[in-house]
Amino acid sequence: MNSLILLVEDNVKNMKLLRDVLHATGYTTLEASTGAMAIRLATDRSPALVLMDIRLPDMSGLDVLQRMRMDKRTASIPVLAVTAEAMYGDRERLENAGFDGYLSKPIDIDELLATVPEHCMHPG
Amino acid sequence: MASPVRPQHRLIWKYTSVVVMLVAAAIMSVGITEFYFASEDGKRAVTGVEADKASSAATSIGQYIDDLLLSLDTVATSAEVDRMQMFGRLLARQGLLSQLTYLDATGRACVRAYSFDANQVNNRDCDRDRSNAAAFSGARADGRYFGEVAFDDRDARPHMVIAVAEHPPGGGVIVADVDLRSELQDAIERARIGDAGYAYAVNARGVVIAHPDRNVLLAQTSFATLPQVQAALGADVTILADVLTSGRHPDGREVLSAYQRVDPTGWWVFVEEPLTEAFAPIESAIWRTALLLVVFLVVATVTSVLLARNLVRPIESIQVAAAQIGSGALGQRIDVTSRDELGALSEEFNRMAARLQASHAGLEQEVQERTKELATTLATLDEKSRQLEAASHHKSEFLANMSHELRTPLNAISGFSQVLRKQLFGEINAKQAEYLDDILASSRHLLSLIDDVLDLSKVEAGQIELHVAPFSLREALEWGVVTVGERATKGDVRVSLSSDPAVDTVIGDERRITQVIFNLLSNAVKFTPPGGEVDVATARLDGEISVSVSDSGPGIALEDQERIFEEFQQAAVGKEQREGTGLGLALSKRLVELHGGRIWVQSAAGTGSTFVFTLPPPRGRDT
Repeated sequence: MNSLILLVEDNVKNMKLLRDVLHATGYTTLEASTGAMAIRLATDRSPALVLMDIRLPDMSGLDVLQRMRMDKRTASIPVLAVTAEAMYGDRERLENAGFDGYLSKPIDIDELLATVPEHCMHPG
Repeated sequence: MASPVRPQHRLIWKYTSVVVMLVAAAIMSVGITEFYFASEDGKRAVTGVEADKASSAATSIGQYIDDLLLSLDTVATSAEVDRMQMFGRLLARQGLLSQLTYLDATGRACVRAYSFDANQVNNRDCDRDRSNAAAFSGARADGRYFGEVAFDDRDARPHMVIAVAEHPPGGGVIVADVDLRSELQDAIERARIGDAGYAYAVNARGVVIAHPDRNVLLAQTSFATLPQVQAALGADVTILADVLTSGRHPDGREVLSAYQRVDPTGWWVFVEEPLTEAFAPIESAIWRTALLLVVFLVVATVTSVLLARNLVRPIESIQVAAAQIGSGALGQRIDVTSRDELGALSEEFNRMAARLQASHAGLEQEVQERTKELATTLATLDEKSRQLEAASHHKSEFLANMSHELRTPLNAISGFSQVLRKQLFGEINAKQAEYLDDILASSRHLLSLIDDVLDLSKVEAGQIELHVAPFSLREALEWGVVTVGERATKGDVRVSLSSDPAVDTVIGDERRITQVIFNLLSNAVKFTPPGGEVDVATARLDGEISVSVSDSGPGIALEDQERIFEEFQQAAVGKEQREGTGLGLALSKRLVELHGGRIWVQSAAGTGSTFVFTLPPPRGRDT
């Protein structure tokens, strides 16, 4: 499988971790370090999955999700929250907001590799 | 505003009726007494006058009869030879003698003389025998005789026969026919009093012999049934005169009557006046009294009403003012200017009201000041609360940031280590693998440290909100047992759960209680040596639900048992193991206490430990 995954992450090292792990396991990635860039890439490239950090420099990952859900072209793309917002209640809050899944930082690589294929939209 | 209480019995009418009754009683008693004595005096005066009149009339009539008797006696005692001459003279002198007759000893009429022809005295030979006449026998028996008063058919005048016996006794009798009209009528005419008064005379049987009404007279009416006549006729012979205030006129009217006996004949003269007439002067006096009574009553009523009003009005003012003050109009004063007790009362009342007002004003001012203070305090409090809220918001924001900022680098550390350990990019040797495991263990430790510190900070800051709802305690315990199962299996620790079937649903924050259960279980598994046992049990004690986690670990010395619930405090064993954050029990204690429960440990060194926490029973339900 060669699914295209959009990574939205402003921390360079964490971006590198995700990219390397996913490349190593056969995924293709797009990278966005801001919300605006994420929306543009999602719209232009129709990724099979978005892994979204919540705290972004220009906007909240929640806002990005809302914008994507309102656009017909991106509304059906699955989005997983990958966030250090892992305090009590955060998981429910994000899932209720419409994220398809939730991975807390520090991420468990096994969990990541198990969750991603579950949510990937298979092309066609 | 409450209206003043309406008195049921008004003072004004009480006072008025009492005064009016007193005045009426006084005036009536005076009036009645006055009337009684006036009427008694009046009766006495009237009957006095009547008695005088009756007396003089009776005396006059009696005198006349006496005179007549005296003249007849003179003739009777004179020698027979002179009799003719004396008859003539007597007839001439006594104009009312209409006829004189001399009856000899045998009763024959011997001499007769008539007044209309006084000089023509018939001296016949004693022709008619009159020895059977009452006059003859009466006079011969008693020396004198009075005949009945009779009315002559010719002139309708009252006539009476008077007979006198000759002296010495056994001789003849002189019989005189007397015309009584002028004497009797004149006498009773003279005796009448007032306008309606009248006088009359009756004989010894009560038959009228003189009366102003000629018809009464001629009919020879008997008055014997009239009470005054009865009284007179029935009186003792010694009684010559008397009065009767309850006499009757033949027509039934009440009369005041005085009567006097005409001595020689036994007749009675009555002088009478109708009561109404007699009382006319008294009556006007009574009317005057009655009028005065009415006037006095009116005056008394008006006066007492005014008096009572004067008395009651201040009381009413006081009442009204009291009611108004009672309903809050503290400025109300009573306008009573009298200098009596009521004035004093009003003044006292006004003073009281003023004091009340002053104290009320003071109170109000105080209330205002306090209210202002309260408002200031509230504003301050509000400000403080806003600041607190802001601070709290900042704090929770800080905590969230803290968590985020710590987790972000930890993500890279842990993530890259995992990638290396998984040898995604090439093989590593055993030493490198061991080091990577150490790094991962440390980062897990660091992560739980971060979580616990932040949780604890939240509890301390009061930031934890419990999501209280009913949940199954049994399921939470089962989840806890499963969660620690892998580690227990690794450490060769057997974990058992013995749940009291009576305990299932409890009310609380499921995640927080689960956190406590997990903390206690993982501690127990952690400190239990291989081959040991961990037992989880629930029970219900005095309504409380308790969860106990027992292990067969090294136990906790008594001196450590309190301390282990404090932050960063671990028992000696825990320190040796260099594992755990030292925050788990502190956090568990806070969370249990937030639920209103308690947590404690029962242990002794070398005998294992039992951690117990309780939850209050679910309110309103029994299971």
